[in-house]
Amino acid sequence: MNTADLARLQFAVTAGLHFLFVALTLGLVTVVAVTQTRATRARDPEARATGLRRVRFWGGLYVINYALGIISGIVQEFQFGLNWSGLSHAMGNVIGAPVAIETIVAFFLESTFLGMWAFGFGRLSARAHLVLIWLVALTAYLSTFWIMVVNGFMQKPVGHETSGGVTRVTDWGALLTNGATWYALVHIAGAVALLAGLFLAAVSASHLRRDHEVAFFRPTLKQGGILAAAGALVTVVAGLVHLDELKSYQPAKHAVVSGEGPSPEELNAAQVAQYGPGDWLPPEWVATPALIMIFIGIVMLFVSWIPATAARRTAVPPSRKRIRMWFAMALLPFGFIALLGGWLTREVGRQPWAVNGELTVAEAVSDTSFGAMLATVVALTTVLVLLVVVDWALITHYARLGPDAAFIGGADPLPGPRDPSDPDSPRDPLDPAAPGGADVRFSY
Amino acid sequence: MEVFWYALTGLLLAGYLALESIDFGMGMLLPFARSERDRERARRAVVPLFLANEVWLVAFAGLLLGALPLLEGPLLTALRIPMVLVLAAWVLRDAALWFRAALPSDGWRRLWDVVLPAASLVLAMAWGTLLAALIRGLSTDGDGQPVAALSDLAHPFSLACAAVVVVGGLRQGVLFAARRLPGADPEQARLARLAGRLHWPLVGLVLLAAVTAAGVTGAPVAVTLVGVAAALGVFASERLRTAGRPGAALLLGTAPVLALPAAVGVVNGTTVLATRSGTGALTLTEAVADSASLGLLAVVVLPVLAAIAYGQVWMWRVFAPQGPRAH
Ligand code: HDD
Ligand code: HEM
Ligand code: HEM
Repeated sequence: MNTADLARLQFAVTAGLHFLFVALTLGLVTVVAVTQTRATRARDPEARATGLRRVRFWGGLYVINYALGIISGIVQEFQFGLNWSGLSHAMGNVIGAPVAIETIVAFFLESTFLGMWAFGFGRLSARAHLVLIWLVALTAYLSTFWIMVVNGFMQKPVGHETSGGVTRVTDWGALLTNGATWYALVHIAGAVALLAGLFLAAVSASHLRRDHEVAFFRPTLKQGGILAAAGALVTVVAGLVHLDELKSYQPAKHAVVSGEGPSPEELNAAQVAQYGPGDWLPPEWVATPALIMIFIGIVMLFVSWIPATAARRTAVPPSRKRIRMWFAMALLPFGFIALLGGWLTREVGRQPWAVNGELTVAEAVSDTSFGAMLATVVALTTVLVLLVVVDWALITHYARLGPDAAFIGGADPLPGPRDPSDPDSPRDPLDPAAPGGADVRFSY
Repeated sequence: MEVFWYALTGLLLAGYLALESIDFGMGMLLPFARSERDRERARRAVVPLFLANEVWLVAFAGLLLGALPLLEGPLLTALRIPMVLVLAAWVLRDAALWFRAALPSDGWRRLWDVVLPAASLVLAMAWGTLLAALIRGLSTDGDGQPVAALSDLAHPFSLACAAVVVVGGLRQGVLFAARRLPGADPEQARLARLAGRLHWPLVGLVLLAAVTAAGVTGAPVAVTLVGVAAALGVFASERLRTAGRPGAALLLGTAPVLALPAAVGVVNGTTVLATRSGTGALTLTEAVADSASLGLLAVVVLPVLAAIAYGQVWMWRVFAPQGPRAH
């Protein structure tokens, strides 16, 4: 193992974890925003209360998940400077502006809005609170767009010129309409919908199989199944189009993943002619995660809606539809596996390049001693993995407790002992007799 | 134009330090809270704000990469040791704020009650040390690259600056806590005593750091002036506090932490990465992005920053209102 391998290992761990959490964030925030819109617009007070209870439950799981999105994102961002200074050195003029825009336009707004939304239950008007969750969702997608502009450029560098060792953008339009960005975005949009659908269905099923909160979870089981199937359709179609498109700009990746096209020897010979002697092919094992992802995608298309059929109102209680309940829960991990498989395909398939055809990974890595890099990797990875375990345990804990233990939006922004005489203690929007009831500005 | 982007980047760092020093202070104060009620109240006071505070640093790193791409790599690589500490402490601090109340178990809460103050203390110290190393100028390693060596980080000037951020943050935490409480709350007297006790030590530390800086940098007059201004800020802040104006006191109380990034600019000018020997130093012209990138940034980022400023002020109104006064 050398310094570059360490930096890659760290990037793989951080980026992989970041992506697992933010993918669920993107899917769930959309679900929560739609649910809250329906609750706010409902005229019937009972429908409103049920709707708000749903927002609190799913929104709570979303907020716990969000914690790790942020924590891993922070480590991810500073890694560029710490471990990959060669990248910003050679490509800073190209990737710098989109990353800066992402952080300022998207995160600055998103973090401000998310804090206000999560702690705004009971403190803001219903309309302001609803606007906030939509702003959070919008900025989350915006951040995905800008980061994928960077990632797309690394896969397929367009609209730039290099002179004197410095790269400059000549055509921002080409960067913003890069196919390698847009195919991936559509594919990811499908994947996050699939994931959110699987999550809704799995959590709902885990309650329904005990006949717990049937009225609360029956609709979300159905919604989850439908969302997952629709997401799978988008994912598979976009994925197949994307796969075909790879032929034109990453033929070696395409050949390894699809097993078609020119032989490895021919492909390498073409690259040697262009870049000089060496091994310019990605490792062969990337075919495995790619196949796993594609296999899961196709299977999902045909089966992910099945649990939704158990949501029909029949005389039989849900607990008797045991197989479909179990099935809904069993599907969830495969969504995450496919997601990771996709990233491995995309990133490892680009090897040995950091920026395809322009900058190798070995050139991109910081010029640092092995010991310093090792210390960085060990320290940050340990902390991150520990927090991931804690966070996922909390998500399952709150998912299992059900709507009565909502993590947010109850009598407290976060649960914990509460004190009526305390001005910081917000009021329970569902309880008119709650402390401070007189000036409740929040109405659902 | 180049100076504008450098200043804007610095402004984001300054905003982060000013806002987060309150959170560091509240974190470090946690062990002094006397009951579970006080601890939970302290946590809850910062929890709606800390995301919006820390994102200033996220934005700083983003703008650094966007506007000064050739500075980002060498800067973070040189500051590897304190930066890794900052990152590790930062994510642990966030986890503590986020997770402390998630489980109703005493053991769980006690765990985070250790993590939160420890991580806050490390953060405050690391920022003081790191900025001091930048003010003084970095060492140069065998390859002629700038690096913050252990001797830079343990230099008396670094220690003085670390102490300034710690004590300055503690005092801000006390002011913030007092401002949130109703004027008649019994806790007020205790907080007032604490603030009074921190005042002179803070003024002393700021002046000590200024005097040390005058000795170790090439701009003794300018850096002393920055130090004296910061000390006056603390002094005025204390007057305002005793006069019953906690909001204004909090604002002026940011002077010591703001003095550090200001001193980096005052001492080193447009040498954006200074070394004591001059070898490996980086100037603004060498580090700044090309004009096409800056143009895109100007069009997209500047209007958004105005919107953000508005949003953050609104958020403070809603989530950190001043407690009812005693009279
Ligand atoms: C739930 C997740 C999921 C599922 C079911 C699928 N994918 Fe996928 N795939 C991703 C999640 C994903 C991803 C994680 O979102 C990736 C990684 C980067 C990206 O653009 O999307 C990805 C990348 C990715 C790439 C790499 C693109 C590149 O290297 O530039 C290809 C060729 C495909 N996918 C193709 C497919 C096909 C043909 C699928 C099904 C028939 C499929 N994916 C199902
Ligand atoms: C802007 C977005 C991204 C950029 C600029 C980027 C850049 C990089 C770089 C520089 C490397 C190291 C060099 C290499 O091995 O190719 C890498 C590797 C990797 N990235 Fe990405 N990446 C991005 C997003 C992601 C995300 C979100 C994931 C999430 C799963 C991811 C997964 C990986 C993996 C698994 C590796 C390891 C590949 C290996 O070691 O061979 N990447 N990426
Ligand atoms: C190398 C690439 C990346 C970097 C440096 C990065 C950086 C970050 C940072 C710093 C945050 C926390 C922001 C805050 O404080 O609020 C964050 C959050 C987020 N990131 Fe990433 N990110 C990267 C890749 C991606 C990718 C590929 C996606 C999506 C496909 C993504 C989607 C998000 C979303 C939606 C959030 C906000 C939601 C959440 O925190 O859970 N990021 N990212």
